[in-house]
Amino acid sequence: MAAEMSSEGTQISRARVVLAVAIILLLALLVALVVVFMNLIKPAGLPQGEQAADKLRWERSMYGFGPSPDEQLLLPSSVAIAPNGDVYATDPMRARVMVFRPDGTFRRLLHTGAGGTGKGQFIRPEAIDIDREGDVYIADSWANKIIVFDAAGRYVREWPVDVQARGVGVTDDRVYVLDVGKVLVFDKQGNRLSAFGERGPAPGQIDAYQGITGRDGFIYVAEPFNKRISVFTEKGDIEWVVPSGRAKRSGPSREATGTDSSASDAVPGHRWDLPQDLVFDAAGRLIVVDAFRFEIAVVDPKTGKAQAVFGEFGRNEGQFYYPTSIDYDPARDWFAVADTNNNRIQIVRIPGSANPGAAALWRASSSPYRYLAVPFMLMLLAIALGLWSVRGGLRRGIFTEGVA
Amino acid sequence: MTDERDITEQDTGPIGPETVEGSAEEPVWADDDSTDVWADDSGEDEGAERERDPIAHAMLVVALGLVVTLVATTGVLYFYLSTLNKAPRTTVERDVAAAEAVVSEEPTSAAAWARLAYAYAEADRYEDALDALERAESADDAESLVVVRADILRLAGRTREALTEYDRALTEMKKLRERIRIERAKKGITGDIGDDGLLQVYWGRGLAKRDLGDVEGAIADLELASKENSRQVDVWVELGDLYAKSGDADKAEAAYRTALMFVPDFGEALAGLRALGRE
Repeated sequence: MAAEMSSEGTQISRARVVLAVAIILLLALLVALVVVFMNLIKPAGLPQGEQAADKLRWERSMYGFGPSPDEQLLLPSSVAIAPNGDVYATDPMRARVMVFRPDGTFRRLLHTGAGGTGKGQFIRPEAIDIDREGDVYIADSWANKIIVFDAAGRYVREWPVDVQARGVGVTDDRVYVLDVGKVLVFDKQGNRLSAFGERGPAPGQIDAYQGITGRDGFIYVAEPFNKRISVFTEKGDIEWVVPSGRAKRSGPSREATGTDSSASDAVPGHRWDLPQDLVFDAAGRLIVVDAFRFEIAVVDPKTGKAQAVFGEFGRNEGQFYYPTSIDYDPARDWFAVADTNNNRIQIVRIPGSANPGAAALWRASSSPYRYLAVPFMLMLLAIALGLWSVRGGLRRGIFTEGVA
Repeated sequence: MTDERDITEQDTGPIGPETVEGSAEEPVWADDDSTDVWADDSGEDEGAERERDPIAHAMLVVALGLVVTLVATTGVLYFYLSTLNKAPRTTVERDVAAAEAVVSEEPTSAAAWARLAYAYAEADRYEDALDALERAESADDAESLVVVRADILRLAGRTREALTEYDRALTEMKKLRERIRIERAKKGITGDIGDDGLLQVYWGRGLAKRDLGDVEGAIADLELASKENSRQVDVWVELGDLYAKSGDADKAEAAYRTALMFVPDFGEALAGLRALGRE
């Protein structure tokens, strides 16, 4: 009897060894597959080293939809993020708009035909914004009109503007259009509600293009040529204006001085060089992109004072070369920046914008690595089934009877 | 003579529990190295036998689950990769794509292949870079590409080989420069030739020496590089870093400030001054 038990035990032991080896081999195969996949989707030239949490963090870049120059962005002038996270980038030189998924892959092209100025066509998509419903508003600076497409890229409507439409900002019920020295206010059907502004450097005058947004009935304008941010009511009354202050040369770097500058205790020497676009983040901060400083500045919307700056000049990922436009994705807590002279859109994050927990979940769901969750879950399921099987044996007492 | 049934049993072994003498009711596991240790020809006690070793059973479940996982993973990853477009995702990838496009248009151009070699090296594809360099060297319009080889070897981390190549490049470059000078003199042309070939060699060799820990040697080469072209801010910043490393803060400060003369907000130079405490 003892010999039989011993023989049986040997058999059981051998089966376990065989199965253990099989499981190890399968796991090794699975790991190898995952590693190969990660290497396949990991691009060359990623930022070196760990990205600090208190600095600008690069997520990904979007260059186009193919390897040839014609399939890539050329001096993208404006960027907007749709409610579903899709990133829209204007490619004005080629009269088209590229749409990317949040994971950076290409979704589709918005193109109405080269040189088209007729109804439903655009020729020079200079600026872009998207409302809460996903409707896309494009400012055509050559055809001087605002043209609207729905989230699926279907033409909705358009209306002419009697200025050169260089900037567009959309809120829940307003469409703001910016010319070099003028702001036009429309409702979303294109009915004009008000207009104000004249070109010039004095407070209340405007010398700008592209950078316009609205919040709580106020209109925020980035004025690159006046080196300042101005805030107006819809009637054109100025709420506040914070110029860059007097710039002086003292040693290698210029510093802004004067109580009317954007400098603050947090950023003592801050000045504007070419503030070109602006957007609000989920924390209510005004985020401004300065093309000539290659920076993203965090601004207190009540005072116009800079609270922090992020970014530096360069060609590598996470660096900028004349960034001209910015938009914010509150769900994922990241910014899309039109890095114009680097011919790309960059997705970056800066500290302090939103609820980090919820945003992290959304970001994970937008990650190129999200598909790896499938094998991981299946593997967990297999292990759970195995444990369940053992538990069944234990409960029936077979484990102890058969194996002991 | 053994009949067919016997041969089959001997060769393959019984696949179910055998009944052995003295234990008619107790099935004994067959001497079989397969994992199918629960099989029972009778079929009546199959369920009970399967539960004889729940651990093995669980392991079998896990193994089968892993097989399913592997198949599913392959499918999912294939699906994802098939949705990827071939657009570059980083500057490095874009440079490679652009260089490959130029090579496909100008397959006999040494400059195009050399550019591709650099692009591959930046993408850490060093073998591809050296292959591209060989194509460049075999092109009709190929000139001296030793410095390109040296740069690629340095980027690949083969620093000592790179140093040898830089030395060779320096000799070739000087000969070439002398030949050009004589040609120009024959035509009555005087003055600076105005090429950055030597700058490239001194710069690369300086970096290679730096990587090997030879700070003094690196400084010497970068000083030569700065004499070749005094407006190269990268050279001044690197010199500043090396002076600082060698303990000469004054020279380091001077080098950083020289860089800032050309690019007033140059971040690395400002960072260098900050590190010195001399902003």
